[in-house]
Amino acid sequence: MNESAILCRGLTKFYGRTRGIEALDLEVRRGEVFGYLGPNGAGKTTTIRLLLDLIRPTSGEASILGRDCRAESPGARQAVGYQPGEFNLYENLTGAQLMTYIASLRSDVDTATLRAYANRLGVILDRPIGTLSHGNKQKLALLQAFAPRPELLILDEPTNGLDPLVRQVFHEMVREVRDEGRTVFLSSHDLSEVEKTCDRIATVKDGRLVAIEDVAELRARSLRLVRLDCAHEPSAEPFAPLEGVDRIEIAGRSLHCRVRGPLGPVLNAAAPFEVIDVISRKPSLEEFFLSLYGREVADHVE
Amino acid sequence: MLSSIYLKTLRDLRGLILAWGLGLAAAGALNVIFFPAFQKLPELLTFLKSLPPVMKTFLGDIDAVFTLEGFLKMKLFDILPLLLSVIGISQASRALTGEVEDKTGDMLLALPITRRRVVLEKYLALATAVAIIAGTIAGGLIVACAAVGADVNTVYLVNATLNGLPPTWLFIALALFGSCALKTSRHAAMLAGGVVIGSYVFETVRLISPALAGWKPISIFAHHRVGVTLSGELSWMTAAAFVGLSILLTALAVRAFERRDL
Repeated sequence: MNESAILCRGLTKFYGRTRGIEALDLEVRRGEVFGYLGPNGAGKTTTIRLLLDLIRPTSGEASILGRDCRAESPGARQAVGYQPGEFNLYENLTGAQLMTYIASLRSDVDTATLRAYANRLGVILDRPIGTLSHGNKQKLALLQAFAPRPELLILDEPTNGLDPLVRQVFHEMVREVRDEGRTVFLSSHDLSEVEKTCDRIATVKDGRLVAIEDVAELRARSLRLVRLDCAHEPSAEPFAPLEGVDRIEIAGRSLHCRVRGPLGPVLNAAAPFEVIDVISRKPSLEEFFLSLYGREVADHVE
Repeated sequence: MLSSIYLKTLRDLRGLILAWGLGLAAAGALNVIFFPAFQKLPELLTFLKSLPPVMKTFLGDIDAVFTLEGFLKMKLFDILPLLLSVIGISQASRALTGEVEDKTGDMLLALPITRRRVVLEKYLALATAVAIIAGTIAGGLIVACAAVGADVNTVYLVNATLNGLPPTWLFIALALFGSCALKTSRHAAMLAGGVVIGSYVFETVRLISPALAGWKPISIFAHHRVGVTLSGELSWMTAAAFVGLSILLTALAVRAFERRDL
């Protein structure tokens, strides 16, 4: 069995002279939730549209579950549930009619599964889609992607317009898919979203892959912003030689610094100043990626 | 009605089929009802026979105009492909580009179906829609003739209506090709509409211009005009030629759609 849910090799798409994505080498493993991050216009949707054979690559190749996205396109798409980022549904149909139509074209939608997902997401099925709010249309788009229980879910900005309760349900549904050994490829520019749901993340910028990271490892080796409140005014000297500690600042009886690695040596060095309180915060993925994009991360825990 | 692209497309067209079918059937019925009054104008026949030869060529068989079959041919059947094509082109030009413009195309074409299937089912649905409209027109004419007790060849009414379909299917295939190959539905409509109007104008000018007499083989409406006789005999060769060209254009539409980015 092919271990890759998605495999891209040198995948490139130019729209005339405009770059969509360039020389993308990417592997998404089976059974993982993979986040695909980047600012608007970075090339996320272009990548997805190439995978689904909606647009054709300028060069390079891609496959889904071992099937070439171009040469074996309908077969590859049989394994995919797709929720587009920017979409319209047939507004003259009701949600139920839309699902009947999609089920007839896919032939792998089970009515009981469809109803179960519809109930969980609170999808309105009996009203014309044209009368629904954006959030309710988004729920329908998610429903048609999840209902066939595909091997691979490709979700483009899936939580746009969803209220917090439905987001919670969505996160549960994604976790269930992973627990069943199926794969989720999730494009987003919402970092907190990705942090909650993904095992690995890739970031793209200006049509190029910047990094692929394991979320757990990323957290483990990420630096922490630390504030020590002491009984006596501390000095910077004992901390300066410590490995992984930098940006040491003293503000009255508080010491601020950045620590990469364990906190023990910092606390030992601070013992002579009688530590009253320790506040430590890991930077969010957002701050991490801002640093990837060359922006400065905050120095202080407030 | 939602178990295939074909049926969904027909479902989407049901209002249009009903409105145009009933409207054109009513217009045809009115011609039947008013024909006896027209027939009782002998001075009109004298006038028509006094026209210059060029105008007589344009009008066709003047004596036949005073039969119900000839009257309907002049008033309805000669322009039927024009009327049906307006309906067909308006829908066919949006059939595929419209899905992209409306942003429903991504979800449809991300499903495990081939682009060929989408084009063919949409084409068949549009061809069926105009056939239903034509059938409604024929039905309306037969009912009107029965209602006023008109002495008419029913086979002619049916076959003359059917004769309008093959050129209409050709124009729909052209609009569909435009919808597959061009960027916007507006461009597709302009392409197919331009060809339809151009063909009709060309045939009109050809009839009155001896210099264009030799161009008959390339005139779509000239072939349509002789596609059925007043006795109701259909030219199957002409119909087959139109259908063959429609198939060719649809195949080109499939090819164009399979190669394009959405």
